[in-house]
Amino acid sequence: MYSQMVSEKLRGFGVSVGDRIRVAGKEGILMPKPETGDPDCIVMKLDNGYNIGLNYEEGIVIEKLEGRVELEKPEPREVKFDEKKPVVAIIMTGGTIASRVDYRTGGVVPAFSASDLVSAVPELAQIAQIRCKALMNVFSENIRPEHYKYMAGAVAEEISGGADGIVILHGTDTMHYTAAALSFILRGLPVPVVLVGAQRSSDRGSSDAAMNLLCGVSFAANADYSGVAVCMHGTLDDKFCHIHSGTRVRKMHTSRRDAFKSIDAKPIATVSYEDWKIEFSGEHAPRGDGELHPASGLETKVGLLKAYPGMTHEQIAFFRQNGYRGLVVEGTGLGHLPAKGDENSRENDLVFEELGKLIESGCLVVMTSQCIYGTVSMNVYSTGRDLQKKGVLSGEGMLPEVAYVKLMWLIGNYGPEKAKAMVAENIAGEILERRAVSADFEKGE
Amino acid sequence: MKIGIEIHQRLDSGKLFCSCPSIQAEGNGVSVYRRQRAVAGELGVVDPAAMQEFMRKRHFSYEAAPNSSCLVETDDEPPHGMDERALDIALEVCLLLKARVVDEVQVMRKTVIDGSNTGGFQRTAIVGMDGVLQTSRGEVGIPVICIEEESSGILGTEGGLSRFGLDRLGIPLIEIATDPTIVDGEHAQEVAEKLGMILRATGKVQRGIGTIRQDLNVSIEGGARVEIKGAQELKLIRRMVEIEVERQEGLIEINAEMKKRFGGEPKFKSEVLDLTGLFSSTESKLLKKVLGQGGRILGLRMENLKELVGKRVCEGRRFGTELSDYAKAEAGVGGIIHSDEDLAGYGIRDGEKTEIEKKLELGPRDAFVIVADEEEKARKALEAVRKRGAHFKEVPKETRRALPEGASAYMRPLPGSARLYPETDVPPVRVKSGRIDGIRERLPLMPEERLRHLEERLGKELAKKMFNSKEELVFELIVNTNQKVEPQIVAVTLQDTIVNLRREGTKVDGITVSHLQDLFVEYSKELFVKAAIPEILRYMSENVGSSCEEAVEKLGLRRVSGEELKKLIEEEGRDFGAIMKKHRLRVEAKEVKGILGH
Repeated sequence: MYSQMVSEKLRGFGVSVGDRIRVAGKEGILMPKPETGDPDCIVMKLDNGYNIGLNYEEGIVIEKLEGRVELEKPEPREVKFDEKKPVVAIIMTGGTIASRVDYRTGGVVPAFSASDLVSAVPELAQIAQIRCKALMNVFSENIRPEHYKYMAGAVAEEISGGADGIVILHGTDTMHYTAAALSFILRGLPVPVVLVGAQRSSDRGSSDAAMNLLCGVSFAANADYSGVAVCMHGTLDDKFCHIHSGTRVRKMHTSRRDAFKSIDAKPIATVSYEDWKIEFSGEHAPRGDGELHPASGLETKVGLLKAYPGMTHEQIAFFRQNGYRGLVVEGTGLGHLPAKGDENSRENDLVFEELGKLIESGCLVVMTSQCIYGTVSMNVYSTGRDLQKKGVLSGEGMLPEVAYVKLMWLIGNYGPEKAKAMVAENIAGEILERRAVSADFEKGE
Repeated sequence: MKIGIEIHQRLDSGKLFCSCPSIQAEGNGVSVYRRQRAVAGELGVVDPAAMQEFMRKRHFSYEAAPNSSCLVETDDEPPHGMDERALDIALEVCLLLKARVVDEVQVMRKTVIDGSNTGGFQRTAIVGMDGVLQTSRGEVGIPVICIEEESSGILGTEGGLSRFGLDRLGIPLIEIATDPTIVDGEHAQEVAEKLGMILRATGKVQRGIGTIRQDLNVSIEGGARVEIKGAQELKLIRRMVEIEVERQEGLIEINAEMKKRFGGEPKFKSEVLDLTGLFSSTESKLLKKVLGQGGRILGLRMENLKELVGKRVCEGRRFGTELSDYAKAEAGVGGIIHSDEDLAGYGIRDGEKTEIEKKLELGPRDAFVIVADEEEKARKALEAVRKRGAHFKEVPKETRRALPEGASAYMRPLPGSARLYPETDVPPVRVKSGRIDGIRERLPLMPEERLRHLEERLGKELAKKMFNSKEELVFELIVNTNQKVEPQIVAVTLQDTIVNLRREGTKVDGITVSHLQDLFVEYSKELFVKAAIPEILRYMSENVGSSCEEAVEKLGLRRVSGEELKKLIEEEGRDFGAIMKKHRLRVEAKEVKGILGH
């Protein structure tokens, strides 16, 4: 945004963004001000395509010239699909993958219709008949549990409309939360539901969006699989995507295109970019012929708290005082938090005491580990045993984010009593009975 | 005639948008495999140059040398803020060229999908505008000065896979573009030389092969704008302009003839035909090799082009060469064979030629072109030849690459203007007037001023020797930090003494600038006399790390002066010649003369 002073001056000269102007001997198109930068600098696009910033100084004259520019909208193209191909419904929720760049401003604007998508990635028509639904346009950091129900509803609608597979375009920040939520909500899911995101914006030739989308659509269309999965780059190479289980996947890197990793498990499958061929890594649930019966209750009074050396009892007290019905603790190591004090650390005793009060208030407390890899085991050390005695439930090897989503879902659908018993029950692949030996656990090898 | 030059010079700073050093160091790192896609440009259309690269379906692999590339280079981490030192150097060049610095630097993305940038675009920004260069033929305008990222260097191409090194990617470049007011080839060369000198005057640009590149823009009356990329040799610039002018003139002539023959609109009615069957018993080694690898031989009739395909366009090039360039660039084939050539040279018999003509239904005024390669490539090549052949309304606008002898070859169509859009990951940089003033105060002298300044201190002869020599900067550093030392002595030491020491086999490489500063500080304190400098330097070379004072003590070269000198003269007799002969390295002749009353 331009500063109020500049905005007023621009109005005074009768010019607005998109007008061709002359300022201080330079001609060009007046551009919108990017979010960053000095709001007193006028940005104009010169005829050579470059933008420059010129400081607005008192006395400068801005002339309006002929030749206003409006951003061209690409002509929507009529797309014909091969009726013999499977039907894939693409549901757009927002994020990098479902955006395109406004080349005039550089800003990210939401896309698309089906034809937008197919004209950007024409190979889609070789794989499936594409139907597109622009459900919402939300960056994934802004997605809230309420959105999960909305997405589940859209999936149900598309399946009853005959879709052979579903692809959900989603921002990557919280994609693994959504994947977990849909894994629990979509009971009896007969087809693949694949979440696809992108780490690099689709304006650039190197964007990962097209490859992830093509591999995701291929899996949704052709895989003999039922369940929720995430499809993202397998490595830094543009060679294949990994298909991750919706409850075993986590974003492990801020910016790399292979940011998503299956934790303590192999990816379910790989999809080659070259020929979209699917290779499963092991056993998996095949497509079903049953009825989808979503269980979309979600108790939103559930919290997620990370344990750390300086944590205080007020933090725990917050959840009791505000009527929380569930809390997932991302504990240290095998599932601990600071719970025992000496003369230097009386606060630890208070933390432990508050935890007890919280549980007595009826809040379910589930322990997971910030190690991310491996399972919690609260039997090994006295702290763990004490926590169990207080009533802290073991989250087993559940990822903290998955445990958080599961606890919302359990309480929302079954009430606290039943939920308590179901925490350690494997419902959607979130709890592994065994972890295979691998030479490098991060690589899952 | 319109001629303009663009200069790209690497700056001596860290990389422009990450924290890697700007060093070219290949090495064992990770190799990343990538594909790139054509993306819609700013106005919703795909840029023609970008599209062509996409159509070639190239694959890329990037070698990430660990010391000189990071996740920013592989396009797996957002860019960091712009390198401040690089921007300062660019601002300095703007001031030297009397350009107006923009108030806010806006970083743009320039679409390039030839694979040389992992992101599919190059980051670039205008820093200054409306500069001017004084030349012997008048002023040449510098409309824009940009700062941008260097691309990654190609290591090789094999079977559609191009390998690049990421060490070069992101090194800051300054781009200086002149307006098209350059008069001729000689003038172009002068402009390039002058700009090079100004850049070196900053002392903050990289030196050596590949660190500076010149691109030429040439168009003549009735011709078209042609950009010739990658002239590395300054000496060739004049020749390049001359050859390009000749080439455009040649094409204008051919176009006129084609228009006459076709009577207006160009039209090639013929189809690409498979001629493989005609060569089942060919003796042509070239064709046999292709057939042996499962390739095909395709042909195309080109109506009305007899004797035009073989017509000379400019030095060393025929119209057929131009057609061949298109086939090579757009389809990746090795070349074409056409009917205006001596086919016997390829081992193609007259009988085979007749068969080709028959199969292609050649008329008396028609020519033909054949290509032997994989079928798809050969077909694409002939389509490119047909398209280029039919393009005779005007000289095509092209990007060409410089060839070693001053000629050039077609590379790709001239990029459209829809190539730039804002880089939103890098905030704009506000250039405050205080920053400009600070740089202005430390501005180096322009080459002419520098020479004049040297002459004032060293005289014409020595100044000429010092100007642009490797030691010039060291000289200025020593003289500017030591007001007492006579510039002449410093210059002679740098230009003669050290050279002589090296010639006699002394390893002078161990002498650093600070050693020299130390030497002249002690000299101006009169610790020793001028004649002792070579001995002291020899000692310091042979005993790396020793101080000047230590050398003087060890060699016994402390200057004898004042009362001590008077005493020495009393003792040894008042013979100037004898004193100087014996104590040349410890006494100053002037002082001895003074005492002797000469």
